[in-house]
Amino acid sequence: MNIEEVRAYCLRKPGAAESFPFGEEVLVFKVGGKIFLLANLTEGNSLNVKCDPERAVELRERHEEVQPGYHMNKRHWNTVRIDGVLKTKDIRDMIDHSYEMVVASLPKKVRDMVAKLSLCTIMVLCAFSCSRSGPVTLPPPTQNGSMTVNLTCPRQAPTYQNQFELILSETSGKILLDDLTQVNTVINATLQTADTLINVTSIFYDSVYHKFDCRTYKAVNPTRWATSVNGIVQLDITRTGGQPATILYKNPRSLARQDGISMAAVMVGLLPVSQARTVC
Amino acid sequence: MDYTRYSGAYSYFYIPGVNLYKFHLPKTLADTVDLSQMDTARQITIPCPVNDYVQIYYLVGLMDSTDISTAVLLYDFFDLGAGSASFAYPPKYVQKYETQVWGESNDKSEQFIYYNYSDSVPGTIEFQDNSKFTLVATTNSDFRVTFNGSKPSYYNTAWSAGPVSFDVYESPDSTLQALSLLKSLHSRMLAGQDLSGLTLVNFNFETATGYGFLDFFNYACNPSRIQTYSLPYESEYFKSF
Repeated sequence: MNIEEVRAYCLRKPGAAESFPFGEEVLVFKVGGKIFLLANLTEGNSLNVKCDPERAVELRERHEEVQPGYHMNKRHWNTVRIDGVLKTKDIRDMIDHSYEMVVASLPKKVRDMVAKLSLCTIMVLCAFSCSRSGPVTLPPPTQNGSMTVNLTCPRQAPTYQNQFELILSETSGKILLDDLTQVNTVINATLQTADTLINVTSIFYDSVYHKFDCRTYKAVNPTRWATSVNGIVQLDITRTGGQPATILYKNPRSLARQDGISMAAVMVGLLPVSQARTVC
Repeated sequence: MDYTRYSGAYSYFYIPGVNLYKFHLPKTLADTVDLSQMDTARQITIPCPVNDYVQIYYLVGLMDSTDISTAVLLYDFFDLGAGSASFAYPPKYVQKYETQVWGESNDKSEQFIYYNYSDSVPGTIEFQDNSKFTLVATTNSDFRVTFNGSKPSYYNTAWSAGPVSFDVYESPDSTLQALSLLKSLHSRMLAGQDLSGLTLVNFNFETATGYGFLDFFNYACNPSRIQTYSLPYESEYFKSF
């Protein structure tokens, strides 16, 4: 695995961005604003990647090519030589681990954004319109001591198990519903309660990091909710079903007056395609 | 240039060195674009609060504000300087801009998110800051916060006990007994977990103009609503402990 292959591999990761914050010789990859890989382009045969301290020691013992991070916190970073000895899979595993560690350290909101990029959800464009009335008004109080909810829960992160627990409870603590169910399954229930505001809790298990993610919305009225966990307030421009295609850019005469080489940022739709190097 | 073509998706070609750009709506799987005529991007400098690090998470342009399939990602995780942020964007052909900017304090303990959806790129970034609130109590049996001035749409606290993380979203007028709330759920998935060491790890609040607590989650828990209407302005503050 050479540096170009490493670069291509990093750029495929959701939310990954390359930059040169330390000068042209050091290629840096970040996710959510945090560095997960550095590569010295002058030498072109080594990387710095973040690593769990215990795993870092194991890797250094197992592979001569893995050394304590050069110019980095040696407890948390490894320098990995990519001179053809290490298998591609091993290098990819180390990059994956570094990326996942950094993502796990991000604020939940940012993690959700990264997860959303990785899920590449299919967007349902039903009657899209940017004109809309103002804030939602509250539904009338529940009648006959009941509240009807119709909730589903999309997958929150790629590493989460499909099963999650949904608990609906009164603000006093009385449990109205406790259901172990699958993500993307619609839960339609009529709750026997005179309350108009209840607590909504969703609990997930991350089978990679072995952690529980429990989220409670206190004193809410979910009768007009579609999901038990809030989405990210931004336009969902992810989409699927594209076709491989090419664009040929020609006649860059307007650039010819410039100094030979320019960097061009190219975007098609929602994805950065590449940073194309254009020789004039 | 190889890419994946989606129906309705424009291509955006921008050359920072000469500050020129070109939009193109591909019609075939092998289009040719003539760059002899390009438009000039508009350079903009946004004064930012003084923070250690500011980044445009994304800047999306909608070529047709009634058709989300025409959205083009103009910037993606683009680093800006602290103090002021300079960047260029295409002033023509875009009907709506969706902007999200992220910042971090010098000591990394505070983070800020600014969101704007409008027909222009915002000329200022209004981050929330720690002058907007006072933390009165931060234990797992007593969490209280008072907000100075206008109240946010909600506030959120994140708690941790071993492998369990617990996020609570509530009204800015609400107080919290996190440990008793978590225990009162009698969760089957959390059965056997030791919750006694539950400690506060993060506090954040969010302001969405015109949206109170209930309105905000009626909106945010409806993906189809998020997709059919974008909040014009939103700002978030995060504090880590």
